[in-house]
Order: sequence, then structure tokens, then C-alpha cells
Amino acid sequence: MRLIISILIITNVFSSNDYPQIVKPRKYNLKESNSLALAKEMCSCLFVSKQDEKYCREVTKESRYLGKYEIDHKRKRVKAYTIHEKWKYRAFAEFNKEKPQFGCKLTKAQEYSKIFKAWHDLNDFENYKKIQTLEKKILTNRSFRPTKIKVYRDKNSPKNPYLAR
Amino acid sequence: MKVMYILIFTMISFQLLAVDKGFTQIQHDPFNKSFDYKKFKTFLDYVWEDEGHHKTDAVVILKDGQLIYEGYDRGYNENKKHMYWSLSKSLTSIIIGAAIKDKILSLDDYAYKYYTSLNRKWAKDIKLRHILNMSSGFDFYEEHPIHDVFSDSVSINYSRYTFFDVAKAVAHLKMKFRPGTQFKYGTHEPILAMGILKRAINDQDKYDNYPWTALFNKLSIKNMTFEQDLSGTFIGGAFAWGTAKDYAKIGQLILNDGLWNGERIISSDYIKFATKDIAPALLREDIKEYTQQRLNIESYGAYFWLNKTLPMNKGKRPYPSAPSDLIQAMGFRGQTMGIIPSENLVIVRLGSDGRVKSKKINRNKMYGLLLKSLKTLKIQEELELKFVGHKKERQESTHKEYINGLKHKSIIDELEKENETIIDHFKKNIMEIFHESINKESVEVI
Repeated sequence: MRLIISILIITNVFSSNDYPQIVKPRKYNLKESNSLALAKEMCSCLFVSKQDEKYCREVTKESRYLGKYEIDHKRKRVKAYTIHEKWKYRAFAEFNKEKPQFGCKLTKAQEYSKIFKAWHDLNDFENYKKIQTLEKKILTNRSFRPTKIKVYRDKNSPKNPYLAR
Repeated sequence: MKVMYILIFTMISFQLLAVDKGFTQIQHDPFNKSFDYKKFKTFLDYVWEDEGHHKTDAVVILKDGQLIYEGYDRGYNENKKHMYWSLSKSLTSIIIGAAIKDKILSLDDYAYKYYTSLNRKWAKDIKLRHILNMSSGFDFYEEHPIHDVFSDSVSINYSRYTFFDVAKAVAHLKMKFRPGTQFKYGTHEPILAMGILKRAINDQDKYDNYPWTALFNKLSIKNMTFEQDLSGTFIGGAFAWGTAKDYAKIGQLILNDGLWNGERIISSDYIKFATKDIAPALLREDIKEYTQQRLNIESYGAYFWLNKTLPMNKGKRPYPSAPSDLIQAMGFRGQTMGIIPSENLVIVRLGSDGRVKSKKINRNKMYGLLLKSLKTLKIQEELELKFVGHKKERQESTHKEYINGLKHKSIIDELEKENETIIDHFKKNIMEIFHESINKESVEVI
């Protein structure tokens, strides 16, 4: 019992602090903040202010340089993502139908897939190809989960074609 | 042939109906008592100008407690809510004022009592009055001199590490100054103030209803939205929505010294603290760092802008066309609420101005033209009513001084290079920029 308690203490299970470190606000992430801002501002504009989509597109112009959005009018929800849904950082904002005085709130911000993160980190054409095939498998078969990705580190290998341009 | 005539007639009638469909304005009865219409027309021509400089959505004017004028455009009307942006900060101030009157909070309450993460060096000395005076000392930059996307005001609200409980994230910010020593305008302070209120009330239902029971219902404001984060804390820095008329009532409450229909909603002492007294940190003569940032050089109370002279401004008022008793709530995209106690006047202007200077309304000019149109001006002091490039000169010089004053200029240079690749080329090749930004997972901006 003592052992279990000491392990739990060591692993910080009882810690009430959600933030392991002091938050550094200036560690920005453009894709992330862009998706979150677009989802929230579009949701509030449409469902709190009850403006039409044309007007809301105008006031969210800056976020839409990189972002795209989808509106679910039935659920009063907006999903936003940066460039493409299958890339990182989708954000969801939802209008509070039960308590409309609280307007819209951000409900979720998530990464789409760890595979994509690996691809971005590696920045390598050969691995990119390999990861692309893995990614197709994941998308077609939900039960499939890769356990390990072998990484080739060859300095002479061609770079990611997008970045080489 | 008859069909053709009918078609042409219906087309013309539809076109006639479409003209000026969006713009509505009403001048209420006591208008002629106080305003000269010809001069007031010049004010209206400027505020509602159609040359594409700024975009006004709603204007409401109260004089001697009576509604004098209201006008709406661009799809807005007296019932349609508009985003208040930073006018929400002033709303937060009034709500905190009500909580102080109800003895839920006190100005000298220590913040660490509510957020234990503040029980650390310097942060443990933060009192509620420091948070209300924007001088708690957190390391936070509301506006980035290069582009808004790098601002902390964006990252604190729109980061996956913070969006679910923004006030808690603020309580974890690094400290840069001792509390009360440095004025630093920022969205984080009112967010923390609303978080403290939540923990002081310690009952989610009561907290949820508090702005309505303590303020909005008493002022007959029924059409207000105050947004919360996922943890159920009001985001006091920016996310309130309402009509221009509703916000004018907040202005009138301040003019009435906290009284509404004979009932005291906010104490007279708090009204003085918030709207008359300059934040003590702004009066210090030994301010060294970052004082020249645009937002940190004007007189400020508790989430209200004042029009008083500061030692650092060499005797100049920020708005020389308005009297020194002007109290303002100001927000992004030109949101403005101005209270002129000497004239018993409240003006609310809501808009959708652009980010570029030429696309923003000149508030100084707006106040000047409005005061000019008054039949009898009670103000004793001298007002500058020429409006010649004052604002432009002031902003440009402070912007340069701010950049030069930064310690880590080399990092700013790096950032400028970064910006060239990330922002300036958005339109040229969006895919390429996306990949570049991905590989630079995060950049530290100082």
C-alpha cells in the first residue's frame, strides 16, 4: 500500500496543478491560435450577434487567411481548421443553447493525427512517402494503429518536395 | 408587351425598396434643446462617413439622462448585439465594483488567496487593486509591435493550453515587475479579476447569475451576452456582447455616481477609484521600461481610460478636443463609450474599423465635433478643436520609441525576418508558408 501511495506521489497523481510549468504566453503557435480564433469568432458572430455569414466572413478576415471553417447550423457549432482538416489543430466552438446569455465557448482543440506530426518533424522525403502510406492505412482502417515508425536518417536523401520549392 | 412593362415596373420598385435599407437613425424629442442641428450634422457626417475610412455600426447619445440620438447601420439595429471587445473590460470593472459593494471582494484582497499558484516571489503581493489598475506586474504584451498574431492577448485566449481555463492560465504567468510598480495594459488582468470573483463567490450558479442579478437586471439590460470559457469563468477581457443602448446605460450609471433609480449599485468610492483616480503606477517618475508602448502612455483608472495629463506626457492630454474629465471605455475596431460629466453627456459608438490607422475612427475629432454642436458649452477649460494630424504624429512617434526601447533588439530583428516569411507572403504561396511555420513549431517573442 505504501509503495502504491509513494508511486502515485512520485508520478504527481495527486497534484492539483494542471500546468507543470509556468505558462509562456509568447510561445505562440500560429496554426493553433488561428483555428481557435476562427472557430470562436465565427460562432459568436453567427449565433450571438445573429449576423449573416457574409458579414461574419468580413470580421474574421484575418483568421481566414490560413483557416477554413464549417458551420453546423442545427447544433449551432463551428469547426475550424488551418489549411486542411486533416492537418493539425481542429478547433470547435459551440453556442450554449440552454443558457444563451453565455454565448459561444471553445469546446475542443485537437491534433488530427500523430502521424502528421511525425511527418512534420522529420521533414524528409523518403519518410514522407512511407508515412503517407501508413496514413492511408489509418484513414481506411480505424482499427489499425502503427506501433513503430522506422526512420531513415540519410543526409543525402531529397528533402520534402514542398519545402524544396 | 404588357408582361415586359410589369417586369420593368417590379424591378424598379424592388430597387427603390433596396435603397438605404440598412441605415436607420432617430433623433429623440429633447434634441433641439441642447444641440445645434447644422453643427450636429457635421458630427454625423464624420461618424457615418461613406468614404471607406472607418465603419460605424451604431451610435447612441444620452444628454442629461435622456436618449437624444440613436443610429444603426450595416445590419445592426437596437436589438442586435454587437461585440464589445475591450469595452468588456470596463463592464468587468463595474461588476467587480458591485461585488465590492456586496462585500464579496475588497480592493486589498490578495490574489493568492484565490489562486494558490500566485503564492510565489512578487506574485504573492498582488492585490485586487493592482489587477484593476493594470499593474500586477505580469510578463505580458497586449500588442506586438510587428503584428497582432504574435500578441499575448491572442495566445492567452486561443491556445490549447489555456482556452479551457484562461484565468488559471493567467495566474501561472511569469512575473516581470513588482506589483503596483509598472502599468501594463493587458487583457489578462480583467480575465484574472473575473476568475477571482468566481472563486470568491465559490458557487457556480450564483457566479453565473451574478452579472445579471448585481447589474444588468437592475439597469433593465436584458439583451446582454457575457461569454465564459470551458471552466465556466467569464472572459472579462473581451467577450461581452450587447447593444449600444445597453452600454450607454453603463455610462449613465457612472454619471449617476453608482445610483440607479435611487438604488445604490456601486459605491461612490469605487466610482472614484475606477473613473477618476489615475493608476498610481502611471504617476511614478522612475518608470524605465516599456512605458512608451502605445497603450501604456495614457492616463488610466480601473479598466477605464481617462483624459488627464501624466508626467511622461509633458502636460498634454491624450484627447485635447475633449475635457479632462472625459472617461472612456475603448475597444478593438473602434468600440468607444465616452462619458463627459461636465456636459452630462454619454456617447457610445460601435464599429467594425480596420487595423490600419487610416481605417480607424479619430476619437479626438469625434468628441470635438460633438462638443462643437452643443448649443451651450459648460466646459470651462480650453479645447483644441482643429483636429490637425495630432493622433497620427503621436502614435507614430511612440511606436518607434517602443521598438527602440526594447532590450532584445536582435530578437526583434529576427522576428522581422520571420514575419517576412510567415505573414507577408500569405497571399503569395500559402502552402509554402504553412510548411515553414510547421517546422518552426514555436518561436519565442520578447
